[in-house]
Amino acid sequence: MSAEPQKKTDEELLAAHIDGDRQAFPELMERYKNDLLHFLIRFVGKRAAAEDVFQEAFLQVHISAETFDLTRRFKPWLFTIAANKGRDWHRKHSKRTMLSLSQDVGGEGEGARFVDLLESDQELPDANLLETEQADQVRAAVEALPSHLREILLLSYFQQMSYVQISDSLQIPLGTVKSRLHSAVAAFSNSWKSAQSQEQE
Amino acid sequence: MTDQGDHLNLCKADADMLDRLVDVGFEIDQLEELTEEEHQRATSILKTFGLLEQYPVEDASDTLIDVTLARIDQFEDKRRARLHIQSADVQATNSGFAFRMPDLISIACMVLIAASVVVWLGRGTRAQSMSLQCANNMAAVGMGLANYGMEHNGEMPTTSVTGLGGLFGGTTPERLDPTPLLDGYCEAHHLNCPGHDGEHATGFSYQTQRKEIWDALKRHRRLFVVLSDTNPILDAVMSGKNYDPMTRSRNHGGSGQNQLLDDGSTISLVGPPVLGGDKIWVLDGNNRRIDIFLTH
Repeated sequence: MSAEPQKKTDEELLAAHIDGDRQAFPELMERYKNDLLHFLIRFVGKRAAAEDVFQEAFLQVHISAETFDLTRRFKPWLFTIAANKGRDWHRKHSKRTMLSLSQDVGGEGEGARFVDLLESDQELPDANLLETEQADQVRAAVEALPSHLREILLLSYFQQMSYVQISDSLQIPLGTVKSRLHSAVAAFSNSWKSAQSQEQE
Repeated sequence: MTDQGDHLNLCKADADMLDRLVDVGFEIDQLEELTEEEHQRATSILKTFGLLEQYPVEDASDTLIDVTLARIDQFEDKRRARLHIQSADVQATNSGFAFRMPDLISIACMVLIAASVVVWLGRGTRAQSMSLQCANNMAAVGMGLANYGMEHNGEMPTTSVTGLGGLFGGTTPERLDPTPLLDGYCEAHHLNCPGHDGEHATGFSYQTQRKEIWDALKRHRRLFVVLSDTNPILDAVMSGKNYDPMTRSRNHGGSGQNQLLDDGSTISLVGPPVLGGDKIWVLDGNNRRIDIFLTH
């Protein structure tokens, strides 16, 4: 039984690209095209914009490839670049994202409890809600988040980046990463609950 | 104005559980010895994150990779062309003197006009030539830096500078040190701007950053300036003089500044005014405090 040829790692592909292998970069993009595009669609909210940011991100990878420390992992670097480009996109198209929340969450004293937010009077997910409506509500809840909260929410959950990795990537203090994720989750939950309440009315 | 989302927060128990879940990559099974209440709390948090999965996304189209590759090719074409644009401009300028002369008087007039134009163009061509040579020097330094970095684990040659602490929050900054580059990485004349007529020997200003900012910029993968034409503010502050923030570099007759970016490319800037008409060039508005000081 012959062993399958060893698949090149991301870092090996990047090294091959630097050395002039024209097949390496397309393969690298192929590996991340869906993962990265999904992240960017969630981050910038529009598919066309996400595709544009995707291109900019890989262009930046190409430009900076020679400066990449090949002993480090490629994926967090790619998503850091993509997040930076996504943030640039938000700045260029800056309409301030404001949450339209009426609930008294995070006011005096302790913040909201998940059980309060999610399970006191709502079911998750609502079985009667059409799938597309639910998807739209989730999208609205995500898009209600300011971009600096949204990116941390997405990086932590979908890319499973640790607090330290996010802190290192975004160049913000560890404590800020934690507090932003806490705020992001609370805001998202609250926004979701608000959307659910409106739906029931 | 602050985004409202920043004011929202979780109760401590939820926040602690969220932190634990992040630590284990949202794998609830990896959390040990959970009480029933803690398990319920963790499950609720996961349900919230699970909602994110509902966000409608579509897979990449078949053409996305091709379009991206085309964009990269386009960038490379432009980068190559940029190195030739200035020399091409010089050639075009030199070949633009063909005209017809209908009679003697016209000839005389035209000769007079042409003579004045030649003098004027000569100055411009000389300035362009010097600017081009300056950019070439910078490109050679960039190549030298890249080679130096490859042979020194990515470290750039830096040295501490005095007299700038006041501009860097009291911390003595590190500055790019060109001297080690003379050990086979570039020639001495590369470290000089031919369009500089000031009292400074080199006519270039080198990247001046605290080491940690330099490292942060590298990690951030943002283009930033490592070398530029003389920065008069930098020179004045380092020699203990007062400085006028409206002063521009004397290089190239004050007509603009060349910059070497950390990817090895060079750009020529006249620079958008960003601070009350000043010609400070900021590559990234959000990093104004980082890059604002570098180039004038």
